[in-house]
Amino acid sequence: MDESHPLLTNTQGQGSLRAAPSAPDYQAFDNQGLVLETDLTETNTLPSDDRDDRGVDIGTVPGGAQQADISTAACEADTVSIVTIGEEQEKVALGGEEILFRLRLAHIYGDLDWANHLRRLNDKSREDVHVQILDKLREQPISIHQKIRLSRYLRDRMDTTSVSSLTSQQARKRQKSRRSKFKPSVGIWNGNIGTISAYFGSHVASYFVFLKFLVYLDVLMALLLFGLVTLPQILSNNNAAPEGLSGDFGVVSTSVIFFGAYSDTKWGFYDRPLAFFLTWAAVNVLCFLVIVSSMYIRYSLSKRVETSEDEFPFSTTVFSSWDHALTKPEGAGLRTNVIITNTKEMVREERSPDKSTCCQSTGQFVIRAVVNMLVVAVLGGSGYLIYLVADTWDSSLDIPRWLDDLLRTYKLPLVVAALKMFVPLIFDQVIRLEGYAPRTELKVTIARTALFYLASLVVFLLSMYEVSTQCIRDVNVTASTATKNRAVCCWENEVGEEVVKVVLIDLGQILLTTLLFDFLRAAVIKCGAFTSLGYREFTVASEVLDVIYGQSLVWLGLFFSPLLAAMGVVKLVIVFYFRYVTARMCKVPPRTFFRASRSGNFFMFILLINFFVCFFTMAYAVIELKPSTDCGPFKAEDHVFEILTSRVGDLPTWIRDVIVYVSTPAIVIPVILFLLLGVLYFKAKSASYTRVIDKLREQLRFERRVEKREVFARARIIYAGPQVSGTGSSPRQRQMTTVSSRTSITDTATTSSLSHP
Amino acid sequence: MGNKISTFTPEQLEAYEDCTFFTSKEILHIFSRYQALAPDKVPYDMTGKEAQTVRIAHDVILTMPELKENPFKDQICKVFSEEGSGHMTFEEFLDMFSVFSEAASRDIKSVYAFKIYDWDGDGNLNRSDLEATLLKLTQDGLTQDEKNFVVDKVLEEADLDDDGMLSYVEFEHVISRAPDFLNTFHVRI
Repeated sequence: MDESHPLLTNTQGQGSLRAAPSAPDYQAFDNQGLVLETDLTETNTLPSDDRDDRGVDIGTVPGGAQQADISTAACEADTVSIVTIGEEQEKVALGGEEILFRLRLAHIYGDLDWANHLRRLNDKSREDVHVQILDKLREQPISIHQKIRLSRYLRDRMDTTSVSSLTSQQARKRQKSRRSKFKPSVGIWNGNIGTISAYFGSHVASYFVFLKFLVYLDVLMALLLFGLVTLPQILSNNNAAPEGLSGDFGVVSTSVIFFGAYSDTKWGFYDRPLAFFLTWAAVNVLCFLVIVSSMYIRYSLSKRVETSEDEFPFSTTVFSSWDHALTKPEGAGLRTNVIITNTKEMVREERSPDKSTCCQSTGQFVIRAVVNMLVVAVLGGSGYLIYLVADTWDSSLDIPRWLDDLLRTYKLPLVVAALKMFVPLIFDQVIRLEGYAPRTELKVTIARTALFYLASLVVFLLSMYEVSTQCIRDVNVTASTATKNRAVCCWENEVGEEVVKVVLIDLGQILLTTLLFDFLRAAVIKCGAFTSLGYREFTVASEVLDVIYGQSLVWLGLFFSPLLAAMGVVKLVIVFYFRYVTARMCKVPPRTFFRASRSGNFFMFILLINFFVCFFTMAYAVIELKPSTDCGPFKAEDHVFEILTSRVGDLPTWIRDVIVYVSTPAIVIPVILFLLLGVLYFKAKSASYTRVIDKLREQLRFERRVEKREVFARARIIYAGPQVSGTGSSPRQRQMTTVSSRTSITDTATTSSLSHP
Repeated sequence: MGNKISTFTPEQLEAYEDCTFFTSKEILHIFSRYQALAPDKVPYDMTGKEAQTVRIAHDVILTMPELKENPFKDQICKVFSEEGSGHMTFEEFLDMFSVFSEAASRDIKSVYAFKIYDWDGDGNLNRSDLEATLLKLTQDGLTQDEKNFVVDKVLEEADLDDDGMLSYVEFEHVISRAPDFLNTFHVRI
């Protein structure tokens, strides 16, 4: 049974497909490959054409039973005899593919007698095969010594032309792969994001990547607005702000930062009001397109990964959860903890589905109902508070005048910021009472926080509406009387100033919260007091929602303050560095996390919703509200969009007729119905596709489990066969059995290689 | 390079480039890291047979920051060294980091992952191998009961021919469906 076999160095055949040598089969070659030491019991040495032209022994596997009785070798060695079939039936040389295939399986079936096979190549295919093997040499799982010898062997026998072409081809391939890998990380802050992902993982890094995306978006908006709107205003050098316009920022209120300074006349050929309106509209459309296309790209990329996510949860945890790139003890310790927690959770889920007693579940239900009511109350209360403060401010407190003025000016932003500081904290704490699973906990908190931000935005908008109508009313009312309440009414300026104030205070609030809650806590811990109080986790979801809120403010105020996008950029940059430093110094990675690929799109989705809210509000303002008559580029119009129609009015009549006709209900309603039908149709189609996909997945699972087990069972029977039936089976039969075993091996091997993405 | 003494001959560098996933620059960088581990033992001039004969001891290699915190560090050194001793020549050192590099193919990573997880080296992952792996991963975090449960589940998921062990084919079948495998089986040097 100690059959020496071309493919094996140690014959320890165990009667299965996985006959592998029991000891690592690295042979002791000396540097010139002269000595071959093996530990086979039988050593059939090869004929002496072992030495090649240079008199150097080429690496061979001893015991090549080429001329030996192959049929006995095939069945009595209970091992796979792929090679013997090939060698016996085809004395033709093996192709490059075949050699590579066997090299790839060499770690299972023992080292390959590559020198022998290479020597047998046809002269005409020899060069190609050499090139082929050398190209893929690094991917073969053989020992480095073997690889180097093989590489030297091949290089000695290859033409210089093919060698140089190969190296240049490889260099090009390498460059291309490096370039494509680095493409997404071209740009600012790559080093920082890389460090963050090394310490905290890719989930936390996704927050910073999201920040980067928003910075790019804001820069784009700022550049467009600055170039097309602000620059002409500055260059034309006439500040169109009416006299008597006073704002909360003093001189700055009448500068180009705000709406009021933009004039409504043409500058040479450049129609400034039209440019203002069109640029603003174009910027919004651009944002929309960028967000949607980014979502689309990300979604189509993620589809590939998502197909088989939780197929083998336990196996993937055991085999691929350790991150070998972790080099710091803290990172390693944390990773271990995360692995432990995840494993425990998986075991718990797998073992026992929810078994809680009747009292427990009703108790939980009551608690959850109460908490939800509390949440609604908090939301309603904060909305009402904002509205109230925006309307009136009655300071009957005994405070110095400057403080009173300050508070009066900044009352709304301060209230909004204070709410923003505390309400998410309340939500964070309250969710623990409800006892959801960690994943659900995360989702519910995110939903509530997102709702809160949206609500505060909406209320803010409503209060701005109040401001505008009040201003118009004021001016109109007092126009009839002798005294004027207000010299000029420029409500856009006021709204713009409010938005800028909120943005600034928001930035201040972020810095203050971080200093208070994170730095202070970290300082306390580092000083040794209260060491049981852990560092705060980096809660990605609430940070991202924070940033989205800031971006919505920018979108809201863009019409009233064209340079707000630039301010947004500055704010985001400050926030980035601040959060980066905080994360490095004072925070720990979160305990539970979304899969990173999914969460990227989720935040984009929330961003899109916020964008729509802002855009539709602004569209409403543009269409419905009357621009102030005293300032701004639209003071001559009744409605802002009339700037377009008054210019479009210059177009030929038939176009105007068409536009008027198209906007009548006769066209609009059928179009809407048709779009609805289209949506329904695609939804039905996608539902049917999902059903097909589910069926196919079922089938795959079935194949993997049941079918493969059958195949393995059959193979086992076949191997056990010849021993059971004795050695008297005919050579033909034996060859057939080994052929079938060969096909089953190649099947599994090829299916496993085919299943690679 | 303006040095008069070059560390490797061009043929050596060519061979290394063929056999690993590194460029010459990276190979030299790795050599500088190798040498920094034992400056008195490793010469600057490796043009002779030093790359195959000079070995750095096992415990010195494990002091590298890239490996120090790795629970599988002993096994990794054992797999990549000759005869499983853990003492590595430069070529073996290079091979190790080549397999762990970003450019390495999934196939070769899964082969070596299998070898790393195969503690007794018999070419199969049996229960004791899986238990040892889990122990290294979780230290004392799991109870024996939970550990047994996990190992049972792994065998249930991956063992297709029901022999109580995972062969390479079964292992590779599972690992090719692990979405994070390429990212986690990666050491930066």
